[in-house]
Amino acid sequence: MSRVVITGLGCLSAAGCGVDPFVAALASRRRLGEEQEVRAPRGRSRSLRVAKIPSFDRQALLPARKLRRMGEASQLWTLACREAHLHAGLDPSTAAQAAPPEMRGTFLGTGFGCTDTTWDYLEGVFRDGMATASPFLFAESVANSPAGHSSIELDARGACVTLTCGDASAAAAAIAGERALRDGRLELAYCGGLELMSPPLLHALASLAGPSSLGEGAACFVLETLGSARARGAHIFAEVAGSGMASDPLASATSWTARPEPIREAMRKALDSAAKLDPEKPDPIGKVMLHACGRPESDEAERRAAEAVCPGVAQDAVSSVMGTHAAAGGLALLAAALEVERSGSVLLSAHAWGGSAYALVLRSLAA
Amino acid sequence: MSRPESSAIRVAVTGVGIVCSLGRDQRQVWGNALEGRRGIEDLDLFETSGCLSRLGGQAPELAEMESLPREERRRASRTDRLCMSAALEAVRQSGLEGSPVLGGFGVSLGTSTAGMLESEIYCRESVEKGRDATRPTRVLRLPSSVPADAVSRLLGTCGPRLSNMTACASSALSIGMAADLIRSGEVSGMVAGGGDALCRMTYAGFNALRLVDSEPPRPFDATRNGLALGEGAGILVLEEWEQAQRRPARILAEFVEYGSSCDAHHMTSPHPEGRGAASAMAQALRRAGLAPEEVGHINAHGTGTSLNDATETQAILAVFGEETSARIPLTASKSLFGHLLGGAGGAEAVILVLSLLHQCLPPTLGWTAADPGVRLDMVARASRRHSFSLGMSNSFGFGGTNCTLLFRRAA
Repeated sequence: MSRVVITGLGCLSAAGCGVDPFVAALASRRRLGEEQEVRAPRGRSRSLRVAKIPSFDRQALLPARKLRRMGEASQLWTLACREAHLHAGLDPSTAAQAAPPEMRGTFLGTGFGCTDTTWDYLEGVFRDGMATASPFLFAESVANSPAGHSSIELDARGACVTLTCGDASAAAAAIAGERALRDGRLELAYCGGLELMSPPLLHALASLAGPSSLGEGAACFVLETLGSARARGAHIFAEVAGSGMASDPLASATSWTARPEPIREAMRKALDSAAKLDPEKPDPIGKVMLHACGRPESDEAERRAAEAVCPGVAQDAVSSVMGTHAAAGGLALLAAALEVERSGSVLLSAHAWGGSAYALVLRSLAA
Repeated sequence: MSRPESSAIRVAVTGVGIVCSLGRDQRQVWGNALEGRRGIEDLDLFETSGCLSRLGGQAPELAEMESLPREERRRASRTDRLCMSAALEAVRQSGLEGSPVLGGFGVSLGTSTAGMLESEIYCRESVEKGRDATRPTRVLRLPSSVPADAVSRLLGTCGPRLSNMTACASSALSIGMAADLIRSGEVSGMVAGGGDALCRMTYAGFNALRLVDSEPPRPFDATRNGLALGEGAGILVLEEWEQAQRRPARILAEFVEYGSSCDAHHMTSPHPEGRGAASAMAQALRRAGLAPEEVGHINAHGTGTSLNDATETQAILAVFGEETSARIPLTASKSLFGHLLGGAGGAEAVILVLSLLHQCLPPTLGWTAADPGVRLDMVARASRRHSFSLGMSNSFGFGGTNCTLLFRRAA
């Protein structure tokens, strides 16, 4: 079994392009995004605060000929991967020192995937007929197209997986990636999340009694086996020390409805299983990063589940700054990785509306 | 050969469920497959005018799903119902229906379009009447996590839940990742596989890419000219071997290993030399500590497109060599029920498990001659009795993703 560490971070958030603006936004605790009146059915409208990724010069990061072949989701995920790749010291001149292409994989989590492109494509199909469908938009509507593009860009020929689990998608991808490394399937993986707030999605979310503060993001982590990272002298940000998954079978698959008791039990089980660290290296959790989706019942269940597993440990959440759904884009995971330096060991909680609960422990390698 | 990388925990298959155009359960599907009946004909699920092909493998209506509570029926997408039906059949065969053991299981499903067929109505109404006149809650059936949520809810499972949307390798990867969870000791059993319903999005898309044939598909045939889309679900109950023996359950087969890779070459075209496909097959064998010569049958990805089958052939030749490739019986289930996209790996894994169990291989329809210079042992025209203990199933998809599963006959 290999130990797995984080050696690079890449991020696109409402705060801007890169990890530094993200760190500054978290430090300010200022709620990002702008208020939008979103039309809901039957002539109603709802005010939503949407923290969108601002525009930035993409061609400074990737040639226009490559960007042209990608939809919006593929561009953002590939750029986040590329940033993490460089952040990990894996620029092309040193790539030879990292894992071989067959041992480099991709694990992307996304709740709604490429809905923006899918809707462009489908509008064309319904407006002009099936015979006029765009092959480019179709290919870019396939949910794993972002992971496919980043694999091409970074020559990652190992497993290329796209997972989905609502707001917990990035956490699910990180867990799956970590396991692939731990089991010796890969030596390096680009893991993380992507979530975009497209107009049809906002329209749908406006019709629900869900959270009113929404966010998007794309965050990528370079996970490496400890051996691979040490062999090339990489800087190690954190170790992925534990993970857990559980689910509540009573939660509704298509609404925010969840009964507090079963979902709390699922959260508790996931957190508990992640927090069971190596008994030979007792390492108390320094902080719990909650998902905090903004629904009072879910948030209370999560807070109590975390308190049951880590009594008295400080709790925090990035959703108040970045908006709900930004967690699907990996921003909560990114905040947890950055928090390791201060708190030593961080327990991350993530859950999704269908009743799935995930948890990860990130800790300082020195701890 | 030794098993250098995998854990000591063995994974048993104790139940399978399948629904596709050949039938609504394994008895119907397997019976029709062995008789070489084709489940591909003109679609009536939606209008296909203007498309290169009007063919598809449309699944039968699922009467059993009518017994679901009204609210559940209203919410469930066609993909959800296909997955729930197959999952229920698999769990019943495993003898776990109503058992408290099932509560500790997890669910790992793959799909590529999930509730797209229903979500498309939102888009169509949006184009025709304007967005304000539509019911946006239909969009909420779209997330690909919903089928796994629906199956978990139906079965009452509290374990890990994974939803894979890695195109046509989705459900094969879901099976492999589920087995990893069992082998890690985290969970004693998983309900794994996946499904997809036909929808306009994929139907129009494959037409636009000119990957479909107006005639039924002829995988690996020299005159092949494209695929036919299908719909359905294939789901397995995977269980820790010793627990299955203790219950006692009838063990249908053993899940041995999987390999996964990415071509890192092109979004919709396979690597010209089948590099990623070969890597997935070789990885599965290497991790299992098995030699290529030990494989007794390959259930190929075999879509029927010119490029896919040519590169899969090259990959098989690269891994097995010419002599071994020429004596391993090869089948392509997509000739029977079409390409189930995200559900393909699950349905074809079920066919492989049934092939191991019954020691019989269904035919590949439409095959008459291989590409010039290629020697493959295609099982064509009629089913074949075949004694074998190790079978391989390939699933490859857009984005260059590849997954190979290995199953062994239960000893």
